[in-house]
Amino acid sequence: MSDLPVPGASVPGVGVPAAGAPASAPRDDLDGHTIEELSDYLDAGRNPRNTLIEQSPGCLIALDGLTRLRAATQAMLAAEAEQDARDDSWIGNVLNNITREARAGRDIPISDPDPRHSLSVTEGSVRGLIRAAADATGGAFVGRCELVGDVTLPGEPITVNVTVSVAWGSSLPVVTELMRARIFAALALHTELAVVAVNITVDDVHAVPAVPAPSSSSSATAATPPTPAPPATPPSPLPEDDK
Amino acid sequence: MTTDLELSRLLTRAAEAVPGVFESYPAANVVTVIAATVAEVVVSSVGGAAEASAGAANVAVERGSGRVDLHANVCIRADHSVPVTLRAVSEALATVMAATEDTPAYVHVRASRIE
Repeated sequence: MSDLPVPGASVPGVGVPAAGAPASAPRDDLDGHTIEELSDYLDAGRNPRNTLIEQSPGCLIALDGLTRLRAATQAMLAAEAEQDARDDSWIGNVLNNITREARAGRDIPISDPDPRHSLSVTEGSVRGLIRAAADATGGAFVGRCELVGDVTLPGEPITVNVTVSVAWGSSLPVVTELMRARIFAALALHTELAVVAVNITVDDVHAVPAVPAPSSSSSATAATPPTPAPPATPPSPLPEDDK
Repeated sequence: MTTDLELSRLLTRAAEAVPGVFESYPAANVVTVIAATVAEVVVSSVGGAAEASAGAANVAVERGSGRVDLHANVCIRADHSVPVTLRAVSEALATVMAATEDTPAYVHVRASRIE
């Protein structure tokens, strides 16, 4: 059984998702596999090897997201369980978003001087890229990510919308600016999208696990999350409505 | 004589050899790829030349109207630029085709994942 809650499934030791948690995605969302199957496959150490899963980019993107979600939430879940403050609906939504975003989606064109060459990167892989870049920020975890605008047209202005959960006590301006800079950098390196804005909405705050304190440390110190380092380069100009 | 399945294997190896390519995925329907592979094994067995699988045949080879269309589906390493790597893959596939046959080749390369 999975370590993580899946929508509609019970989770030993950490309760069940909230009643309002969304239902599972359709079975064929990930090349015929469900997020529950992928979660179980991950539990089994991806063994025995399932060729259909391992040859499906969508499944692999979802597995990447699941792996990061587990790493980020294991301590968080334990901390929230201790405080009896656990809300599984948020994680259920994240799982559904990982499923939805891992699908290939639209083809985003990449230029090539040879007219007989046609190059593209899938929207699903770009969403996975954004998710990975944002999750690597530390102190925050992506809930949803979307590309707004016609990504199939070169030069079309594109807006990236991301919702995140931030660790309690983190500096929201510092975390979101660092995350925004990472997303801009990743998109600039890997796509030819004309990104005009990266909007980050903090829609949840999660608990930080208590760290066993040295004998003389106070509990307040133990609850303080790590402060992310400032971005190496200043982010691009941003619209005023960015949060 | 080089069959399209053998050609696909050759092209797959060329694509995966490009720096920045992490792995490739079947560009054609997986069922189609498996069926083609099984058919080849059966034919080889009848001819007494059965051999173990010679590697993945992930690049789809489509022929028609006097041209060949190649479809490749790859995963790019995150420390390499996707556009630069995709151009290198398309160049590598075109080079293999030019050395293999005279039919004009149209190359379609898609990054389906960034690792």
